[in-house]
Amino acid sequence: MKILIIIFFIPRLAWCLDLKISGTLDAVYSQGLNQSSTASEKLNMRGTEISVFSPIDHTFNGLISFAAHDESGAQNFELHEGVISSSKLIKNTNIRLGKFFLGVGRLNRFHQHDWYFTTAPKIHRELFDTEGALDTGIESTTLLPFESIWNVTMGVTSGHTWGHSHVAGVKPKTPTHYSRIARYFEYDTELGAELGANYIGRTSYNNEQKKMYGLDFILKAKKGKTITHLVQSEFWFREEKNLVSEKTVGSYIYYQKSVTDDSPFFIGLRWDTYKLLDRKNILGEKENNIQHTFTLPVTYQHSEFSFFRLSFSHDFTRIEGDTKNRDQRLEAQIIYIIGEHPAHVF
Amino acid sequence: MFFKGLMKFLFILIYLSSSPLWAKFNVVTTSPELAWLSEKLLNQIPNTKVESLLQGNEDAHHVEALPSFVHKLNRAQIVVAVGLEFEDAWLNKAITLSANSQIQRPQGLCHIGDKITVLEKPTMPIDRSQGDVHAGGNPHFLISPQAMIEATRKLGDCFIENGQAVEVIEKNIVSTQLELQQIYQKIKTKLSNLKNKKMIQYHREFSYFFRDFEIQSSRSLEDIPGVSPSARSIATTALWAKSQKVYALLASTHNPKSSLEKFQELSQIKYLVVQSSMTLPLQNNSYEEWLNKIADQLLSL
Repeated sequence: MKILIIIFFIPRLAWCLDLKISGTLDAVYSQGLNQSSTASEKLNMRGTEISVFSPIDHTFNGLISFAAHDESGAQNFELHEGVISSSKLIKNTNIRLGKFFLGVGRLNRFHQHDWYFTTAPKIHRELFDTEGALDTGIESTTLLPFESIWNVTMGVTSGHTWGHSHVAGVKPKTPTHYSRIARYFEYDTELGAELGANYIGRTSYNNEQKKMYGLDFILKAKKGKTITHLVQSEFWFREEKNLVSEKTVGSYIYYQKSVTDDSPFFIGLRWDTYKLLDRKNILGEKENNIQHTFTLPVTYQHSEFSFFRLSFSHDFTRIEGDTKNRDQRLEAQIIYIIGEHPAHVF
Repeated sequence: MFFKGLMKFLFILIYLSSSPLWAKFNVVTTSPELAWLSEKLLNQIPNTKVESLLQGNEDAHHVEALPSFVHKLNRAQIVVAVGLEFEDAWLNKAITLSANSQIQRPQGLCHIGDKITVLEKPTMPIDRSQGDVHAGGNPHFLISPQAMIEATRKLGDCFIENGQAVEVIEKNIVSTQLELQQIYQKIKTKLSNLKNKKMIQYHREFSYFFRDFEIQSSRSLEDIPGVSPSARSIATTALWAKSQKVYALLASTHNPKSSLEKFQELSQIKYLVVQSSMTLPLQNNSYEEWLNKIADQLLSL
């Protein structure tokens, strides 16, 4: 029934009401290459998304997106984002209210199908979710009135749940609150970089206090329609306090290069690290640990609206000098976008 | 006492900074050609500032809504754009992110393409299987002095609608149209030897240029707009071009060199890479210099 609504009802409604509509499919096949790999070894319709957006009136814009996600084999169909926003109410400020991905970090601000690689780094998966942290609340982004380019984002969301959740959750003691300050550096219109500093905090109903601090960075060099060089990185530190304190630190750095200046092929390399700073062994002694993942994606961009990607990843954990939990896998990904032309955002 | 004095000082500062006497008429254009035209039309009007988002060396179809664009748009009173869906992928997003209500009014965004006699307007329904086809017609008209004459009127009307002095703008419209007419005549005389010669273009960026200077063009190397041609398609076009005794293939700096070289190798027809947009910084005679350079390059073949 839901599928019928999407196929028949929404396009007709869009046509009648001049709604802008776009649909995205993100499919991933994951093949394990070693015995201990936990790859699903099936084609997974990871995200199928329908978005409708349009001005509501002369002041507000509306966005509604529905997504079907494969979660443990079941397709969960849900309201992904539902936002009312305005860039006209307060000078220099964009405000949005509703359900949305929190405007922090780099990956969390973009849908999975817009990423330059297939799977989120370990630190992102652990701190946010496989896609990102979604919640209901209010967020503002202000362009500061300086000659240099600074943006400040601040938001408060319900905090009943954290990450991507299908339960109602419980009212927290302190709702999720976050901020990001970002500075953009430009050499010319084909070479620019952005550096952001982030903070997120929340105290749950059972007094579990979470604080996260992060840095995000992106650099893009373009030639014509091709991103010839791309560097993207995030570093996060999380401190959780309840009965005991747990500190986690992790990062990733990704470099991607087009094969030639006008090639549709892109080769990348990502290095992820993830470390539990308070990990102890069964004797209660501190245990040195670090997880590394190396990912090598090759992307073929057939057009602005379709991508094919093949990634090899090698993941392992080092505990007190021993290598454990090796996971080697190959992932094939297809992404396409139909409908309204997506906006090109830096 | 000190507090009262400070309040007075702040009040005067805020009053003066918001006073129309100090207010600048900030014009932000998407392309350097429109910035050049805006400067011409705002000549002798005090407190005006014109900036272009693009520098002229980008592929305007594939630009992103850069934070630097958002920053410039944040201070604009009016945005001047080509229109015809030319900047759709990034301009609307950048305008929204600028959070500037001035340019989100209908009068705050001036689409020049609305008043141009457009070429290659699709007559059939279009979809993405046909590539980057623009429903409103070919948006690459800024290279044509004839189209720029039409653009002058539209741009002038936009400035008048935004409160600029009617008499000065009308006077500047006349002088700018005269200047463009003279540029057109000069280039036309210069390129008279190429009249009725056949040329092809990589992407349909030069259709208006060919129309203005009576150069025959029926084909582009891209068989699907915005999509790099396949080897087979290049070979077919090369054979056709050879049989038709085509003079040259005209391409811009952001077109793939490999396709151009393949075409030249197969057809024995030279390709010519030119700047398909004016580049910053702007000078009084930038437009004429740009077209002159293209004409010289064409004649040097």
